[in-house]
Amino acid sequence: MSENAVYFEDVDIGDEITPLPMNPTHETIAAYVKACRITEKRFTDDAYARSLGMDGIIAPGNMGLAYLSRMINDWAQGAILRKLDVRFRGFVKPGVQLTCKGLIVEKHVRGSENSIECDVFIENESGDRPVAGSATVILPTRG
Amino acid sequence: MIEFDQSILGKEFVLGTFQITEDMMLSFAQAVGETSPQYVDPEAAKNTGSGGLVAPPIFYDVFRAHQMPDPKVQFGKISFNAGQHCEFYTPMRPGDTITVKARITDVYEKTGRTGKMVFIIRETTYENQKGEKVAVVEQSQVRRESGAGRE
Repeated sequence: MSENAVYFEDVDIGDEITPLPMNPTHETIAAYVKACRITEKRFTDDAYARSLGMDGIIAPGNMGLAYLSRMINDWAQGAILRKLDVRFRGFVKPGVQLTCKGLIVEKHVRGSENSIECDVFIENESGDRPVAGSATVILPTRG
Repeated sequence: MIEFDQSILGKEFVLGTFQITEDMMLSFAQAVGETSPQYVDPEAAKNTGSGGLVAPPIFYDVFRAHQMPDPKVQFGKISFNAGQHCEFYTPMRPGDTITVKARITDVYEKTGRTGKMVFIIRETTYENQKGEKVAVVEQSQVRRESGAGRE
């Protein structure tokens, strides 16, 4: 296990997951769209997005999920994301500084599979959360 | 009452079978800035808990380009993803062949502060060549008349 390993025994309810900055730009959104072979123009073409009544392009919702997943893995190498349940309450737009955050709210012992429940969300500088939900994460156990 | 194709409800559609390459996995991992060896370094990944390169969980998103069953809802000019419930099982590895199946589980309407909305719930199951479940994703799509006033 690497130096970033976080064990079930080491975490408590109320502990924070190390936050991960997410600063989407036209370029990072384009890279995600390309990697996923997405063809919808509202993620890449500002003029087209405006024709739909938006201010400009938005990031695909799943890009936020991918960052939340990365936050958990960066915080605890060896952690296994079992469930991720989110609501999209606003758009993730290029040029807006965001931070992925998480908080442990429950701990569950289930035989050899010990898991934590976390509130997870993506927050902007004014405290609005365009993406918010919960995650179930299996952590390694000591010994 | 919302008008839509009722006959589609609950019916399972096989959207296709797709082979995953290492390149697809690496370009996805790179696009979200992953640095973890199990996602980005095929050699170093062998010494991690995963025993080799695996795809980050949200990698299932690469299969989205394929046609989803369409209940042909007669409402709304624009549609958004309202939420997603994902469960992850066996990780995806290079060379895996993933079969994607989807069904519409529910269609219902709701009136919010910004007016009427129609929700379409889709469940997509991803399975590998051994018949092992890789991921199940329940997506809630909302249709509405305009893109403005989302908040």
